Amino acid sequence: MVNSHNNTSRGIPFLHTQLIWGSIFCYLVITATFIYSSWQYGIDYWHVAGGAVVSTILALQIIQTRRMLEILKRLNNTLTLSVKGELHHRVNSTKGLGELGIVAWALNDLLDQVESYFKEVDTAFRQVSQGNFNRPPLSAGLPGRMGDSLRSITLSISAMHDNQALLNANSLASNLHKMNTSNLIKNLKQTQQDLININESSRSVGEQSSFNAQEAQQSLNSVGAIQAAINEITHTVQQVTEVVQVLSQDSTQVAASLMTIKEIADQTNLLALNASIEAARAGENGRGFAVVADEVKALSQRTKSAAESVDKILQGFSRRVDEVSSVSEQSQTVTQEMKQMVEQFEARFNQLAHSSETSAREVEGICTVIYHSLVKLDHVVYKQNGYVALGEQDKGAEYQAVQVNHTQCRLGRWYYENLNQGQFAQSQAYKALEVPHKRVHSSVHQALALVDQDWQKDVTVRDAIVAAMQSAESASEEVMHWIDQMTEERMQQLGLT
Amino acid sequence: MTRQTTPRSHEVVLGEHDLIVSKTCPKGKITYANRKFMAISGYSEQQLLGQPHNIIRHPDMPKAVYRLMWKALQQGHEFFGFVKNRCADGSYYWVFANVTPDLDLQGELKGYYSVRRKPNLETIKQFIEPLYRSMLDIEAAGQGAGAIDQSVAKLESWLQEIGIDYCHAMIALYQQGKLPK
Repeated sequence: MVNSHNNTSRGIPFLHTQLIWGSIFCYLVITATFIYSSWQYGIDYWHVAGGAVVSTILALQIIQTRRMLEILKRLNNTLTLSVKGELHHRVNSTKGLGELGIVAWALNDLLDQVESYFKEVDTAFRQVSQGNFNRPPLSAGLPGRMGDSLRSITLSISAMHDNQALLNANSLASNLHKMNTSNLIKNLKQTQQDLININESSRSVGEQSSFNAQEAQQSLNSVGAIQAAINEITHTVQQVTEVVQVLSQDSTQVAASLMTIKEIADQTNLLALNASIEAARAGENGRGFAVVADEVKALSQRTKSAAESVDKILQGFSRRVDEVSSVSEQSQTVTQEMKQMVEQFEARFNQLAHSSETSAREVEGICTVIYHSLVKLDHVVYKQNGYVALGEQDKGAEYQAVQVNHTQCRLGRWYYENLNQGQFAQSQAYKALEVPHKRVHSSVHQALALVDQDWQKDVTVRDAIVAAMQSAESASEEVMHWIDQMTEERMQQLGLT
Repeated sequence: MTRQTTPRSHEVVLGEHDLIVSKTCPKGKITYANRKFMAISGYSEQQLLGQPHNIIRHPDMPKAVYRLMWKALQQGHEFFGFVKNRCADGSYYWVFANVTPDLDLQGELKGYYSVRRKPNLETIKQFIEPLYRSMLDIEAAGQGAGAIDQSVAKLESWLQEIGIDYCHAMIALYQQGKLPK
């Protein structure tokens, strides 16, 4: 059992061997003494008794010594096994072995403490590894360093528990954040699509408004033509009225002339009557004269009846002139009314044309706001994709999405398509937009490149990632500012501020 | 060797840093008892070695607690418990016991290892004694294994009420003298 490798004591025999050789030597001496005394003095009762007593005492000594050696062997055994790590062996049944028993109990006490210590530590850490922090090592009964050690471990386990809680909280927050960002991008994209639809609808509304304004303008032109025609008619009616008035005056003069003719006929008739009377007085001499007088009388009567018939005709004529006059007055009233109505038409078409034009401008303003929002939203989505890509281990769709540079994203395409064109040529905001926009992309690309390095170990890499994203955020803020500025400029151009 | 002594109302109180240690073979026979064990229980080494560990079992202990203990040990788990033990002269002493399986380097069961520490006697009065008394009543009212099952059920319902597992509850009572919320 005992095989020491210690060279210094190799030559010295073990106590057990020493005991055997010593005992044999003692018995040989006793036996030799007994034989010698028996040969010298004969067999004597006292010699036999004395030899027996000495032999018995020696035997008892040997037995006790053997027990002690046995306990020593067990002590050695236990210590050897303990050195190998088996702490559950003990040395018992040492009663009556005095000092050796005390050593054995001291060893047992030591092993009790050491075994308890290791069991406590093992159990506590096994429980911790299974997520149970409610089984700290119990330090009661373990003195000195061992008790202190267990109390320190209890503190460490409590710190681990806190840390675990922190890790769990972080893990939960990180999972929620991941879910949030992925859904945020989805929602932003939906909003983007909505805005695209609204933008298209607004554009068609704007086109409709422009069309309405053009139509109103054309209607306004037609109203002008109608107005000119009505003025012509009014003028013509006026002229007719004037002609009728002249005719009416002429017929009055004709009537006066007819009165003169009738008076002449009456005087002529009276003159012919006087001539007949004178012819009758002259007799035969006056016969021829009487015929002439009759003829003159007949002529004056015919003249009078002709004048009367003309007078009748003239009276009819005069009545008709009056009728024409009143009809032309009516025409004048009607054309006046028509003129007023057309003026109202004109005013309404004017209003329509104006409001259609205002609508068209307002819709253009709305389209500008929507399009700029769309551009801004695309920018926000780009950043969100950047954050998701930074948080992911594998290079997924988000990672691919943020690889675009500042000329390829929606904002970039819009920017470079409109380069130095139209409304943008004079815009300060448009010019100022390019630099920060470029920086947003370059900063995100820089952050993504840093993620490929060992950020988990190197705090400077982590700081650099945060700094890059911070630069992207501040540049993004500038981009937003200049887009807002462009919106304002456009609104001023459209007169919508 | 077992001497049936009449239980007495005298209590032996452990010292603050006392550690009672004993070992049994896989069958529960005592193979080692430390000097503190002998000093407190009043049994000599010869009286203890080779005896079943229930030599010190007190009649005030519900059998269900030992049922739980053996169940835990057979599953390879440790066991905690407030235990009332009997001395050779019939006195009693309360301990907070922790029993673990003893494995050798090959992981084979060599026996059981029990360490007993001083419990807070106030905690025992407040929580343990009322619980054990109700369990004892159930065990006394019934017969055989069925009664112990009911007693175990009683303990389990108590645990359900406080909402934590047995070991956690016992450690909390030992360390804080109260049950965690």
